[in-house]
Amino acid sequence: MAMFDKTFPTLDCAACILTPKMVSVGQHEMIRLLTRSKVVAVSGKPGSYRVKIRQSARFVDIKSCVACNQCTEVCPVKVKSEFDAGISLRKAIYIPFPQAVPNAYLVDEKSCTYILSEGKKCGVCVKKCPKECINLNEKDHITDIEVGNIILATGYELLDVSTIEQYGYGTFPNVLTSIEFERLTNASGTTGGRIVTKTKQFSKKLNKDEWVFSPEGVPPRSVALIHCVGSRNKKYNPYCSRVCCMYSLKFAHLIKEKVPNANVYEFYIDMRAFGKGYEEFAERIKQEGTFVVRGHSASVSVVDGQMAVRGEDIFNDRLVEFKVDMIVLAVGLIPSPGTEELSRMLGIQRDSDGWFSELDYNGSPTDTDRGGIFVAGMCQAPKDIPDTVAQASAVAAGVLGSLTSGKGIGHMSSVTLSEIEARAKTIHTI
Amino acid sequence: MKESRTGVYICMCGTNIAKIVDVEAVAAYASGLPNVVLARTYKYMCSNPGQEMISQDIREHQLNRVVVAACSPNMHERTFRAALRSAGLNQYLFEMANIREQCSWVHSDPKEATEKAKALVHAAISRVQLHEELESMSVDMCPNVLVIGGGIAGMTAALELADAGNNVYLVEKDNHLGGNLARVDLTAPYLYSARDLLTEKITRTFNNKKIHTYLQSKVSGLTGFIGNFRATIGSLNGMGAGKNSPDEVEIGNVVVCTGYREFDASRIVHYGYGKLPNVITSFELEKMIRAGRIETREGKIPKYVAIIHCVGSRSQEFHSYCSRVCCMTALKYAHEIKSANPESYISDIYIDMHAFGKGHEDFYRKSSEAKTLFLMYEKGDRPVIHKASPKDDCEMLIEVNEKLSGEVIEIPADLVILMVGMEAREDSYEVARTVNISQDKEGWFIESHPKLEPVATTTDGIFIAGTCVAPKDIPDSVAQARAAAARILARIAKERIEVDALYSEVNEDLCSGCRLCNQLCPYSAIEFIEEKRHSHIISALCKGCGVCVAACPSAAIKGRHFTDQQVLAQLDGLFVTG
Repeated sequence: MAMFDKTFPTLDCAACILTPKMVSVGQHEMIRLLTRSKVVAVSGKPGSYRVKIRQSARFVDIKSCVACNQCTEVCPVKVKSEFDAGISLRKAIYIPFPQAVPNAYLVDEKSCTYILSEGKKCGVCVKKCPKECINLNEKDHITDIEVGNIILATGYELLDVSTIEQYGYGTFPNVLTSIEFERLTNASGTTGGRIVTKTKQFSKKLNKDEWVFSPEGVPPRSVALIHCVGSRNKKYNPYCSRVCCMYSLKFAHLIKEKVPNANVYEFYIDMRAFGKGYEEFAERIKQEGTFVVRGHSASVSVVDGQMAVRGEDIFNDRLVEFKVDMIVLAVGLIPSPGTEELSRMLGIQRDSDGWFSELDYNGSPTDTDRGGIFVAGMCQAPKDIPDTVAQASAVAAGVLGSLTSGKGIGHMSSVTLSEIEARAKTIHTI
Repeated sequence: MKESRTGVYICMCGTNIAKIVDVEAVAAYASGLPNVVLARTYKYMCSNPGQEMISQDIREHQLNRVVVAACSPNMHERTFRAALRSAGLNQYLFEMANIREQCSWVHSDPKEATEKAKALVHAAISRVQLHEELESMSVDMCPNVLVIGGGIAGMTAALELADAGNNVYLVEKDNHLGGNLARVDLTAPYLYSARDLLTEKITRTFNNKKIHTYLQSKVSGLTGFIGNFRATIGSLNGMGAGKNSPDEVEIGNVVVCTGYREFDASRIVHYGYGKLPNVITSFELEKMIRAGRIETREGKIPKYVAIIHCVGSRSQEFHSYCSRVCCMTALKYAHEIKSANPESYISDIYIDMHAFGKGHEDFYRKSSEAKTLFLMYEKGDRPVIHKASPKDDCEMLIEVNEKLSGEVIEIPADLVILMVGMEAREDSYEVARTVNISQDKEGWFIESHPKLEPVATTTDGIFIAGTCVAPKDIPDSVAQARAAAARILARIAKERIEVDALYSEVNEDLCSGCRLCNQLCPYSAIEFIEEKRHSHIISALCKGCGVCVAACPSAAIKGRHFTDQQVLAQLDGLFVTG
């Protein structure tokens, strides 16, 4: 969410909602925040789990780092920024974004020259740091903790869109994934929030031309937004990703706001605008002049140097072709890497799509079949922010309940349904 | 008074503010104003570095007043007050200027907007000079909870709270628990039994000694404030609400789970509901399914069944919103009818198929495989139901402008099921008034923030969950109910709660004892002390709304943090800019 610009349907900025939450978590005296960390082993039972955590070396001391940025300035290594979805570059010593919590730098061991050369080369950041808080020889830490309850909130990632060839992702430079567009339009992104097409630039490193986003880039004259990329498709994700209709409508709004003359075409199958204020938002987008086209889009090709999206227009019973400068793919969601490993470690079931299974779809949507282990948010199935927040709070109820009752959660698992029926009948007769 | 040293912080809010307002110009202007020690800009003032900057400046530059020009104080006043506290400065020596919602978001001319931002900042600086140090109060948190509505959400919240050891008063209007779910047989998409789910919940509710259930009752009054409410529970059938039942209960928090009612299908005249005998609503079909026989009014097994979606939903004339559960319920009906009468032909007439949740898409696919005929119509272009002629082998014909084929199609039907949407209950306005919460234009209760606080309301201590907030399915209702319970449990665990120091005070020497304010106070926070012949404000009950301050003919009431001098200084500040 920290990567997003605005949130649907209210269009309030994601950072405004998220930064205070992150700060509160970082400062809370009862929360111990372990970043760059991974659960490697779990043993025990509800009420007393022992958890082994591997904390990868950060190479920078969080307590001493004042985020002065001098290390980053001298670092000679440039790689694609994960936080910017690969559309900008970062250094090997960096902070993912200015508001990151904890507000301290870190070193990427996969690209740092010093670490890769085992201390033979570079190390300029260590010499430059005025607080002497960089230690490139730091090792990973193992921490053991004891907890009564475990909450799984491991989220999602995007399906690898390069497996879907028909839209030309990777071939045509201005075909973007939803998260790339999100970073492009973000105020703190590489173009300062300007929506532009990529420009050609000579890369010395690759010794050839590269397509990059630059703040001086040219805004697109027309944009196509394509829904259900990899979703609702037996070949990729058979399920609906639940948020793409709404964020694509949001993209249409942002394009119309920032590039008022641009034509925006939005291809959809079913417009799933089901939440509070969502249908109204969809109507608003249509009124703003976005061409909302119902139908599958079939392919992307290049005609006379410009991209052309071909698709069906069900409402007008015809095939259409729109020339566009940019295409944004609403890529489907899949469980985070490591979900399978975690499910095995914890003994938690997953459904056929790979998401964590809840104990009971209707009655216990945030419990799992193992006591004292709860699920919240996307890792249980795709869902939007309000539903995620409600689930997270619901989990807190389960945990608080287990604390006050002094034992695990009070399910009636030992009572058979017929017993319940019998009891219910006696109650009715009272 | 100590010399004033004011720090001014202008937030860019990414580009939300900075794209219209020249924040550097505003900062330069502010830094030249009297008492201003420094003025800074920052991309996200609410972020950790932003807040750190403020606390550090307070310490290093001995600031004793702070102004932040950013978003609405509703959003972040608390955030910045915390930054003041962390630097050891009283949190009320702070003022926020709203240059986002009240400036950059509503203006398009950068020059004018920048001037307006300067005026707003000047007003805030002028006001903050007169701020006083105030101390918040802390009051006891009563661990008892009132839950209004005994449907799936209400029972879930009640059980969660009672299982943690708290007394719960569960008030239900009907003569049984279960709400709308009690009318349902199976649930989509996994076809789990609604009855099993409810029986388990109802049994646990009745067996839990901590839950005091009031059937056929309603909450007729609620007074007090968070942690210390007093509710009046009245019986609806004229008899006592139950054994050992006090009519007045003391509670600390309230969860409102009053649910929804179904849309009245007869409002859409040309669907013929109420006139054509075999046009029925989804709930009428549900009744047949529960009774174990799906048949026409004439007692025949229907050969052709048509299901029409979005009845009353997604429509300009009725409700603009989507009712969120009907698509999946319709697929469930297709399945149930097909299982009961395998010879039936089922057509499902829809706009968009909302199969967005876990297991939904799979259920939709299976429905297609089971040979349900899906017909798509365009929003606003409703199908029309005709009575068939005697030579047709069906009762009715439905004319659909079908979009997948691009043709107008006539579908035979012996039984038509209208998927009626959800709407706010007829008594939702009364409930909203009783517990002092707001409703949107459709009548749904409004959450305090859709993303940060989806189950809280703007009245502290009053929570909302389930379909009284907006249409939603069972898992989402249950999650919300538990969320509300969690918020309350966390507060109960702390035993005391801090309340804002914004309350009004009566100057006893000036009060003439006219009692004008006593009736006006919307929170019943003003009492009259007979022996002294003057009014007195109970600070814990007072919300600082200022009604009494404005009404007092003797100017004897002072609104703390909203004194006349402070407000006038703010107004003066607005009209003096450079």
